[in-house]
Amino acid sequence: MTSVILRIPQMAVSMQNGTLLEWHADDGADVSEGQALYALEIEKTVVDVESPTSGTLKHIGKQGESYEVGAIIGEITAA
Amino acid sequence: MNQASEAELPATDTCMSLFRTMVRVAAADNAIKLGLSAGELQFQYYPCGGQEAIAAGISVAISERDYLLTTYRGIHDIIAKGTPMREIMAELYGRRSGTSKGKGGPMHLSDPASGLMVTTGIVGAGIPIANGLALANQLRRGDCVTAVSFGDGAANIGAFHEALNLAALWRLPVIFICQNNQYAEYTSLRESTRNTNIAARADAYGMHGLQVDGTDPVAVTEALRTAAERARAGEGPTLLEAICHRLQGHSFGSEQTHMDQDALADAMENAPLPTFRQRLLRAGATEERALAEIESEARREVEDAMDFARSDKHPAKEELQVDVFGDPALIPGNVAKVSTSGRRQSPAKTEDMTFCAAINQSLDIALDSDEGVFLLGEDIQDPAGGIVKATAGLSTKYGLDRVRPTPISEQAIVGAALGASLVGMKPVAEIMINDFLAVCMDQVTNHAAKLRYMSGGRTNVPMTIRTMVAGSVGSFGAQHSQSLENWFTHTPGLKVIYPSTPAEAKGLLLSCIFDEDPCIFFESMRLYFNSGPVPEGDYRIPLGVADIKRPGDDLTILCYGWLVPEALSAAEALLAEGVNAEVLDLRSLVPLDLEKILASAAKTGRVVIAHSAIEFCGFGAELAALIHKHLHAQLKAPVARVGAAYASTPFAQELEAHYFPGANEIKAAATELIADSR
Repeated sequence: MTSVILRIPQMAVSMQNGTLLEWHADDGADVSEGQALYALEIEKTVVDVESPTSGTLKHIGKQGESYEVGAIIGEITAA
Repeated sequence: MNQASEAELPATDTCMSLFRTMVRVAAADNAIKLGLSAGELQFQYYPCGGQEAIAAGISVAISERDYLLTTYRGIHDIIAKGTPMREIMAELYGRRSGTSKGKGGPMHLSDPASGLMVTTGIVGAGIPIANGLALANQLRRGDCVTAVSFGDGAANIGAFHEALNLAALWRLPVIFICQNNQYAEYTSLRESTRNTNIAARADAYGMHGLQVDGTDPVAVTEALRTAAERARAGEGPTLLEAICHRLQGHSFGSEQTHMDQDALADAMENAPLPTFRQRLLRAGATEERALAEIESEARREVEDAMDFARSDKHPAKEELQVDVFGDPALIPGNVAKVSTSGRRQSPAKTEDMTFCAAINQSLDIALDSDEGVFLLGEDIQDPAGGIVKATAGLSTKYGLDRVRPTPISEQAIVGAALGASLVGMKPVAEIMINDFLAVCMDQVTNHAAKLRYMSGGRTNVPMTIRTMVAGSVGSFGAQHSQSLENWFTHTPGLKVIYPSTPAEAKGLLLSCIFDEDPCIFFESMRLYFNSGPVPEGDYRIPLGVADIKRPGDDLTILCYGWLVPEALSAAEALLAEGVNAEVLDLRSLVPLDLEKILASAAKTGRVVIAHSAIEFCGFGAELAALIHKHLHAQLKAPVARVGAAYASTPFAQELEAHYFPGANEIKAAATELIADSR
């Protein structure tokens, strides 16, 4: 069983932190590689971050919270 | 362009090779993006989606022994050329098994073993360097081709123009691959130029140019093969514009609203990889099973490489200053003994000659003793023989292949020298006056200086740039009289040499030419027609060894270049006042003979630093700081500095006389220092 840690990605040169606006998949849901996982707000623009792998999603970060680049916000465990 | 996709498919082997490259590229690109999404990888990534077919063409049409240079959006080219996937990924993770030991990163991969010579982060900068690799091949009568990739954005930068002009002039075996993905960062091609037909620019240089559908690997392969055949047959360069469309924004995560949404949707619909896949199946060239096997093999290769990278070690702290120079002991500011092992015994016999004649003799000896040495620069050929005749007679003796006149194109000159040096040639480029180095600073400071470090020592740049300093010879004014050595001492990776006598001009220049690192050699016009004894033969002075021009006990005058004779005059005048000054000629600023500087300063306790560069932020400031750092308690007075005034060099000789320091100013500073510390 392997898992992938989800961290706030560096989406722009100037990006220091981002807000986890909304999870697009529920806690405990099965997700697949490439699907939109959550909405990330950076400097007033919103981007969808894609799932880096397939498996079961665990939420760690909370919706509406702002996190620094590199902060852990979730984990996906392959079945 | 739709017509081109209906063209006949090549042999199945070739088709599968093309498909395999595209799949490997896509697998790597995808894995990197997913790593960035997860936040595991953190860097600016410039995805190659939409350009995979061009890489496929490169992998098939450009052979292993050919050279390739690419740009920061170049992962597809790098994979196509054959750089091992594990080394690529380890570099992206910043690990020690990466192509550059983690020192270069995603924008600076190089792997000379597979012919990947340079990846540059500066738009258009690889183009002049490609000329140099091609020139080396031409001079060696080899049959390698040099291909250089760049984007449509690079077609509007000066380096492109200079390099294409020179490549056509010299009929160099180069393929200029413009990967036109329609956008230069966030600006479309239509917003960048009135004439969007980039291939048409070839006509202006007298070069073959053509457009090809850059989304069709078969069409790209054919075009590249034809261009490569032309190059190998001595028919000169080709400008190949491969038209494609970027499938995403400028960098990973960047917005796409600046892109034409209809064109983007159309490009996604006709993305190169799925389109080619369907075409192979439709034409019956292969079966689904074979393609799927290639796809899972590529995924496994990339996964293995990512795992390898993750488990690899981070670079050790000790690596920080390794690969700045070939010899890590040469970091300036460290007190380290310079190796003098390469030193030739100075022959007993000398001959009197001018500084200029000594330069000429040094070049003559280098050209005569090593086939890899060649000269290039403006006006260096006979009958001109250089604007002050420093190269007179050499083109007549060695021919125009090895003593090459160039157009007035400083970026192209330095790029050509640099590129040739990457494969072991020993070029000597002349940039007429050092003020003109401003025109090619990118080639000098971002490339020549950094390639060894950025490649983790896989490449090095054994080139020399000779350049004149024309201050204090009267009437050259603000743009021909500066002394700009500190621009280069501030850039790690460059050796900065500044001789003051004919013998040193010869001995240091020969050492520069045969050095393993890039050297900037400053020649003072003020000294050009001074005469002195010059040892015969292949006389070399090691770089980084200062010379006591006059011993003394009361005061040290640290100087270099044309202020050395001024300092000697000042020392004579001081002697009349009972002050015995030591004159220490640095000769080489990087590497720096700190040991000898500190020994002299410790002995006398008083130091005046004199240079013709502007005093404010000049090299003397660094010297003063180093001396105080090591010897503060032993100094009898603070280190004094004498340099040019903080102004542009004035034209009127009455003003210029006040601008540059000379013997009087050095003596005045010394007298004041003595008075303060009695």
